[in-house]
Amino acid sequence: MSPAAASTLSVLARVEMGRCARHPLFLTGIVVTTLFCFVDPDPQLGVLFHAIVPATAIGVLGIFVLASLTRRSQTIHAAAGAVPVAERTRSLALVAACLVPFAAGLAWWAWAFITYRNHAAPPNGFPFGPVGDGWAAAVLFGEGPLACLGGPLLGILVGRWSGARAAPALTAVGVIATCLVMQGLFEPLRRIRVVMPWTYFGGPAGIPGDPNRILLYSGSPAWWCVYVACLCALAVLAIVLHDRESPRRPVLMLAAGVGAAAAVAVGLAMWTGVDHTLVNPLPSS
Amino acid sequence: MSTATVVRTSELAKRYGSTTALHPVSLTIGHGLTGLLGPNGAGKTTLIRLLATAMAPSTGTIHMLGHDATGSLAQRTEARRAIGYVPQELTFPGAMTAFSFLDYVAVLKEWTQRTERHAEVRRVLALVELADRAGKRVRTLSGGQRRRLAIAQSLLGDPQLLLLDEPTAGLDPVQRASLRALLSARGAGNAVVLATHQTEDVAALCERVIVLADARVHFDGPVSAFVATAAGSVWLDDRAVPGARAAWRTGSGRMRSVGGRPPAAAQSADPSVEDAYLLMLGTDVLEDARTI
Repeated sequence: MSPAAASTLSVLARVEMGRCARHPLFLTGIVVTTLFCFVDPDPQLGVLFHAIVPATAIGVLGIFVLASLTRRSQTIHAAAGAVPVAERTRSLALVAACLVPFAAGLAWWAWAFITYRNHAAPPNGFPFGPVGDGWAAAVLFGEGPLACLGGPLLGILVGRWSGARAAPALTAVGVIATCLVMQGLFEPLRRIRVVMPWTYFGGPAGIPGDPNRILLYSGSPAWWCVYVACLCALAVLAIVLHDRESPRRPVLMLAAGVGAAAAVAVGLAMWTGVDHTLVNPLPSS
Repeated sequence: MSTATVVRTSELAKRYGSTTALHPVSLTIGHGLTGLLGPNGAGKTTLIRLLATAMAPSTGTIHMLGHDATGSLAQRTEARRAIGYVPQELTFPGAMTAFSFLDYVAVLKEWTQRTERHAEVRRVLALVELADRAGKRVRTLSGGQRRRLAIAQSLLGDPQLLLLDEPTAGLDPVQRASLRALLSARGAGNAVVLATHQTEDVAALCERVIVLADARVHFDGPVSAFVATAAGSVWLDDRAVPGARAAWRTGSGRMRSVGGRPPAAAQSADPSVEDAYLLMLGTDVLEDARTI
């Protein structure tokens, strides 16, 4: 990238970050997430189940926010016709804007981890068994900040590749629907659920006779985080690939490498860590 | 007209499948105002979009100020630094203010220093007489004001090549006169290409005219030479001249006829750009264009 392009990217990134930070939907997500931080966590499930809040309020709404910013960027470019700043630079500026929701997710993560450390789960609660602080930190990181990053990236991807106005809404519905199915409630899907960009690693899934019994699902949240980070990187590459004027071959080669890394990471997320679904030996109540 | 070459095209053509949007065109454009005149569907927008590097040609080359605009991305980027372009179809983010829209476009044109950028935005807003609308959302601006906003973005950075596709559409006579003053001043030291089907814009502004129809160049030369092609073919009479390409009753009550064989009593009239245009393209071409 030339010095002029790098300088422009820096300015454009700041512009897009400002637009993201001021977007009403993003602000709504921040308010909702902050309000939920003042709600005492469920004594049995702890703060680990709070991750749904930033994932939805910042991550899912982020799909709409960044799709909107992407469309606006395209509209302005169309109004100006041909400009020296390449689409790839404009896309990377939008990607930089995703650091705003990611930063909000990181702030939530810091709060959540501190809260987790200060509110130990009861023996019949979640988590239990052979998991420590690292496991909890990884779960919170994957379900919180990474979701806050991934949703907005998906928004840019949809905005770049689809001109349909309903595309962001359909994407959000699709993400929520598949995550609901793959959250671990269905036993046959528990090992492969980590292919999803958002899932649970345990909870009150229940057993016969005790529908709220706490379970710990198989898999490694740390490797799942690596996998989701790879998905985010693939999203960025797919976004910049949309620019037909810039060289695409290096991007495709990089995408192949990241794709291979993602495949390895998701395999490790399935087959390392907690070996199989564990059932809390104590009844839920 | 200055001979300094700003753009040179060689066998430039555009096809969409079996449809030819522009037959091979070789042109040299220098400083001053050049009009691209033709009916709808003639290929004006295609040519101007090609010159603006907003689309890639099927064949041919464009050299712009020493850069191969049909070559590498780096060459194209260099060429784009010299271009200001107003597309025919205007799209705006309605929720943005006029100032913030121009500020964003200025960043896309590599104005990275905030203070200088804002000064440049204020300069072009003043040029198009929208300074008092800077803080208004684009959706609240009238059609004419939006057209002027589009022209303002094209003027950012004082480009050496200004490409305007139907810039006067939607402007009232006062705004049109104001725009003409602005463009004529621009043409003194830069190249301005004006695509239009309004012959009066060409007559009022341009030193040179390129007439396009059926995706081909039919005329390329000084406006005076173009007008001269209709000399002795424009008549005033009480009735339409037999065989005229076009005839209409003027405000004085007499029929103005272009082409045809005049009766002895018919009075010869000074031709205009419009007369030459009607005579050159003929009824067939014009009717073909109307069906597009």
